[in-house]
Amino acid sequence: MKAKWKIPLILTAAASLLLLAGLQRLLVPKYMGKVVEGSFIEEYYKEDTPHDVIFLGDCEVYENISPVTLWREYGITSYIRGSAQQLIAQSYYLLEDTLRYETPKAVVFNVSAMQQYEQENETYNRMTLDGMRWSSSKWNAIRETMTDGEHMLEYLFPILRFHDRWKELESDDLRYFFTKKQVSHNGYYMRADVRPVGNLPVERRRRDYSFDDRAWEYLDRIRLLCEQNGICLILMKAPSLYPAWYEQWDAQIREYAQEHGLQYQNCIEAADEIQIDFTQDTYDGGLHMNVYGAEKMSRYWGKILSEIPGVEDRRTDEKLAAVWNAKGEYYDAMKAQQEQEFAQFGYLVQFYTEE
Amino acid sequence: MLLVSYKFAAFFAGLAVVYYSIPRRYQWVLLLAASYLFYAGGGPVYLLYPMATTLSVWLIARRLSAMERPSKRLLLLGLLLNFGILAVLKYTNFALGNLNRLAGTDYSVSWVLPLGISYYTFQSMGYLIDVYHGKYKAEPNLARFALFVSFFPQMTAGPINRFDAMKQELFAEHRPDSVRIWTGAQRMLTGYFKKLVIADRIGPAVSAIIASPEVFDGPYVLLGMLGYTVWMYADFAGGIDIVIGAAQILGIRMTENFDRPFASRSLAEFWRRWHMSLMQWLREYIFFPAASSRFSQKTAALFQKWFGKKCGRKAPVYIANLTVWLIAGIWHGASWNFVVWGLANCVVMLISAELTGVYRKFRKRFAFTGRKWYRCFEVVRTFLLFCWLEMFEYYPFMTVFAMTANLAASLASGSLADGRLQLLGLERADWLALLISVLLLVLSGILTGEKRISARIRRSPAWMQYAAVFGLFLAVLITGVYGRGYEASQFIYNQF
Repeated sequence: MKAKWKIPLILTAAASLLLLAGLQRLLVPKYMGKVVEGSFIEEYYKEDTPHDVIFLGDCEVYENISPVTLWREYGITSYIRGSAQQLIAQSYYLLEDTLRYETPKAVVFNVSAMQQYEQENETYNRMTLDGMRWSSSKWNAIRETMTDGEHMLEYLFPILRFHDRWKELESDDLRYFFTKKQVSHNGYYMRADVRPVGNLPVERRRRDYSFDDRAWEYLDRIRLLCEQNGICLILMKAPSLYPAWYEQWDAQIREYAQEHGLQYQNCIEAADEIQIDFTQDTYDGGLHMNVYGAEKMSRYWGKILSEIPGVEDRRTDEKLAAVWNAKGEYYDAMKAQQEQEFAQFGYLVQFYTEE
Repeated sequence: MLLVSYKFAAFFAGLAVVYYSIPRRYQWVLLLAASYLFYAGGGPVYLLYPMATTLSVWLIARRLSAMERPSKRLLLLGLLLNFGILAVLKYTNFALGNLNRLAGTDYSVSWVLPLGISYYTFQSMGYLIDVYHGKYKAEPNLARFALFVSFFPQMTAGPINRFDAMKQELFAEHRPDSVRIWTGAQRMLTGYFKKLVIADRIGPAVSAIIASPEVFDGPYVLLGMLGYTVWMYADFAGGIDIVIGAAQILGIRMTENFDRPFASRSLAEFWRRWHMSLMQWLREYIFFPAASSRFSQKTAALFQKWFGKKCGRKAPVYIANLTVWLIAGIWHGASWNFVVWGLANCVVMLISAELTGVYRKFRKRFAFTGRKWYRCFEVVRTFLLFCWLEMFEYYPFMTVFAMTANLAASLASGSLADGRLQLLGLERADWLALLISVLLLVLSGILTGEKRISARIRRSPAWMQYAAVFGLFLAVLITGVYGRGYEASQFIYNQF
């Protein structure tokens, strides 16, 4: 190739790739408006201080535990690696991914994901997997949990999946083109609105209460990964009143925990001890806790976690204190704003209308 | 394997790399293996069909070639066997449907039509007839002949190639040529643009209009009529662009299938420029033999006796034309709609041929017929006539006239902005994308004239070439109708 062609060729290729990357960035969903859950997983990588506790699971974790409260009341540093409808296999690979950056002292895994091994909706996969940084863990997570019709190529180049958003681009896509605002509080999804428990659907009997073998396999893998890294694994069932958590399921998890010497906390049974008031502490009629319920849950869990060797009160660490105080301020500001909105309108503006 | 799939992109990219890396004398062997692999993608059992055609035609052609006076019976055996397979697979349900209507029965079969069976059958039969007529010798190598039958790009949507032309291309040794590869890639990209941006966007909307004539009447008949033609053209020509571009990247030149058909000034001219390879095949292997057949000659003699010399002379042409269009109709689809559509085209062209003298006088009498605007009028008239005739494909015979009357009545008062447009499933942005894309196609046709757009682009400065191609790539990437949320749609002409 003639030398005079080399520079223009390289420049053209670079400009083309840059343009493609820019278009891809523009077209992928930003999850900054009504649906923010798609931003949770990627926010973890902005953390620059370690965590003693990692919570793993789906909405029953990221809506029910407040890491800021854990810090304020117990000095425990924690992060929630959870996303909507996060499958157990995804939780495993997220744990694997987390271990690349830090080794926590304890991992709390919410067992509700045992009831459904396969993803029903591609959207949930995208919200969990797109946020992960590229690694073998992400590759394996995609491969294991892709729904029919999904392609690895569309994860490698999300523009192939989201190209059709050119028709629905909005101001948020430009506003958050370079940097996105923080929407979670160490993975916690704050809701300060209140919707008491009403009539819940009747529990439907099932023909088979056994969990999928693959779910058990991944629970084993989570346990083994924790063992290999000297991490204390605790199993948790969040106090969600719906969908039903059947006794038969609970018995299986209890048996598993007993067999492997794990601690299992069923927070539905402990609801009174946690002091959950289902007329005040839930924002969606008993499915998930609001911030008041999450703070109560955190106080309860703080006691349990404090007893784990290595999980210490770190409030005396100045550097950590400064970081967590800043997190606390953001937390308080959002909580105050949501409380004010709820008092004024009866709903939270962000979640009912786009910003 | 769909031409519009990640699998095909990976398959073709891998093939191209291996193709230019192996010793050139083995390139055609690789192509044969790749073609069978491509075809087996739909299920290994489907390989049996092209293999059966390959073996039977190769054996018969070899035998015919060895004879001093080729046996007509042997030729007929080859034709009957292969057209028989095609007829059984493609037309059994059509025949049973007619039988069911007559006898009140409910028979049907559920056979899946092998991909591109009409294309490779017509191509092979053309070869057999040519060998019979001694136009060239039969291919002695079975594997080489197998490649001619099953060369994977043409298996999907044609074009129907001739052996004497393809032989040079398929079995020559090809060096990588950057200009040819670049041009081929551009051609493929143009094809994807037509298919993904236009055809797959407008297709569902047109289908909705066609499926519910009681809902979509008045001006929607016009929208459906124009949309159907745009859909057909973008889908078919897009597929052909991908096929020819892919072959070009591999160094293989294939026959063209379109020559700006919408610039035609008459329906006869249109059919010389649309699906050219099929029309050439029909002309060569159906029209001429039919016109010179004993039946035609006898009919001509009878007509001459009864109606005079002029009628007698025309009889073979009429018989040949009717045969060609009957076959063209039934080739396009196993239903009476297509038969009627073929015959309607034939009737219009025969009437037009009968009026040639009148046209000539008209042109002599009025000077404006030589003006540019009049030529434009002829082009628009031909386009609308073609669109109208296409209605016979998708509406029952009488419905065509009812919908035409309905359209004519609503032209003055009807409006598209009555809410029904939203039922077609396209957003405002989709309509805009369609409008711009179709305008781009029309403009490129006008600007390039006789030459292909790729030839025009090649003459531009390098930066302009790159900008045009990259722009087209971005248009396909972003506004293309593909991926999740869309059903990957087969090319319409795949089913033939």
